[in-house]
Amino acid sequence: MTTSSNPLAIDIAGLEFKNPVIPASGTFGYGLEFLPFFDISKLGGFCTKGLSPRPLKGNPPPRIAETAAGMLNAIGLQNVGVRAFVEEKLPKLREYDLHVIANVFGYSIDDFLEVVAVLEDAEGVAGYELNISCPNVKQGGTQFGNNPAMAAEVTESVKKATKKPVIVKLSPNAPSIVEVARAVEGAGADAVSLVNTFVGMSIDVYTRKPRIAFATGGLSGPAIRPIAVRMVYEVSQAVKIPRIGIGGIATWMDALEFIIAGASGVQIGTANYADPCVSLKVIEGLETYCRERHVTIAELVGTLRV
Amino acid sequence: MFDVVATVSENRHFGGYGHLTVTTDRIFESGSGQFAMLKPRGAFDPLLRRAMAIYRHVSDGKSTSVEFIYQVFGRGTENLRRLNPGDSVECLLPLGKPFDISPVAVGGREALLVAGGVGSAALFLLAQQLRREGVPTRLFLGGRSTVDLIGLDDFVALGIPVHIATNDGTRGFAGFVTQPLEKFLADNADDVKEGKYVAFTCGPTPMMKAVAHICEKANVLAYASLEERMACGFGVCVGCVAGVRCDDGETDFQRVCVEGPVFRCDQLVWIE
Ligand SMILES: Cc1cc2nc3c(=O)[nH]c(=O)nc-3n(C[C@H](O)[C@H](O)[C@H](O)COP(=O)(O)O)c2cc1C
Ligand code: FES
Repeated sequence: MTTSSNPLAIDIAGLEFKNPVIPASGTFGYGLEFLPFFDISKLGGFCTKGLSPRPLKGNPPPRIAETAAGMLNAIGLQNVGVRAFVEEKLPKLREYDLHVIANVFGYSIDDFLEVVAVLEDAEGVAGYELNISCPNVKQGGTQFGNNPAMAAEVTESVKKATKKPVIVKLSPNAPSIVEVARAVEGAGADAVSLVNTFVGMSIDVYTRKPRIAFATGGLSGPAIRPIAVRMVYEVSQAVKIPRIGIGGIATWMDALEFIIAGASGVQIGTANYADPCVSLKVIEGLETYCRERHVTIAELVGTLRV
Repeated sequence: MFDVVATVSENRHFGGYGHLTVTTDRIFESGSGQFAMLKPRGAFDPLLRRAMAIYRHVSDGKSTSVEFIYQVFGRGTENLRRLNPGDSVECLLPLGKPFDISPVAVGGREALLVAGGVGSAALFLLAQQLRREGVPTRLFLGGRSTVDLIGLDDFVALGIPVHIATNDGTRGFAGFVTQPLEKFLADNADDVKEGKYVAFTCGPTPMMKAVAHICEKANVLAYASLEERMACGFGVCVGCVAGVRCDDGETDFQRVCVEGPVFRCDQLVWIE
């Protein structure tokens, strides 16, 4: 066992993270919103809300509905647009010591390239996470994530446009998430993150209307965790590039499940809403576990005993 | 805004409602119209907190107690109902922008508060503030039945006139609260014309929509305090939006938890 002073330090996609905990896109705003709660420099990094070339208005309300152990959302990627992010948010984020991962969204490959081009000119973005898996927009979104060939094409195009690490965020709604993972690995992706939300639906039996205006929405929260852990495990068997596990993480034990299944890093989503400080608690729990067992996170990755 | 674990000092039940008082050592102010996100400490089912208007706020320099009135209609509020004195509650507060009383806090104007059911809980701090500032204030309070006239005694104790309506006619006017409001505006048509009144409303959406419509027709400036489903309460999920008409005529979606919960009725695009 190592005697590393920081048992949580880990390398993902060529970036050194002080710990594997990364709040997930769409649940951590632009990071600055959490400053009233804690020092975000304590995080390994965070993923921004999905950034598109131009601001998006998003879907009409109601956009969310709570369900058993989770929630449905159809926000429709309302965001300030990449240029406002660079001008208004990034300068403030540069004051903090954490990896800012820009979650990139587009309706076409050109959109992805435009967002990346704007961010390449700015300072303070450590890497990209390509959101090819949003189920809540009428066009685009999952058309990339559900199709291995198209997923590979967008990955390859973005890889040519940057030297920074490119993480591809996978959709659990694809016919085979393993096939998409293999395809983006082949196209040069530096890592994959999984999973985005599962398409779901909830109905108000009194009005007989869907409980969210978009009819279907993305399911997140503890309800999806066992499926997400299984998918991380399967993808870990199939690709060599690092995996970042996402889905229903609310405690350090949840995070460790993903790490043992094969993830080098973890993202925390919905749990941030219920407890803005949840990421800190997960970091503390992981640290205690590692110190008590004289083990590092890096040593635990993919150590499932089967 | 901060997240604090507060202690339940009282949790009374009446009808389908609860009146919860929590106390903390933190000293802070709550603005009228602001709210909190609440859940029993450590609860993971349901996952999300519940948004609750701050009904009353009392600070004595050593501690602060905050009161909430809630209607029990789901698992989240049922969990709140089960809280006992001494239990811990996770409270994120104070959230949202307070009411802007500047349009009514100029001499000669009068505030008309229009509340339906538990919506009155969002207007009590406002009524207190208006009284403190010496702004003439009256309340139109509606409910299904007498038990649904939330906060009635407290409003009466402030010494403001209250116009009551119940759907079942057990107290006050038999019908919707919008009817006494319409009658009042008709009886005081001259004052209405001179811009004497500013309305503030909170309650079920159909009621607020009707109030907005009545005020628009009468050319009375009106504000509504909205209740949208909320996941976070502090602006990051973008799940709680309302349609707001911008200067260019386009509809924008603004977050009820940050840009609201109070909006000008003439800028709202009611979606249902
Ligand atoms: C309200 C909401 C908004 C989201 N927005 C985005 C987004 O903009 N881009 C993205 O890649 N994922 C987005 N996600 C998905 C999350 O990043 C995450 O993949 C998913 O919620 C599963 O993790 P969880 O169960 O921990 O929430 C969003 C999720 C929620 C609940
Ligand atoms: S409740 Fe999350 S943005 Fe308003």
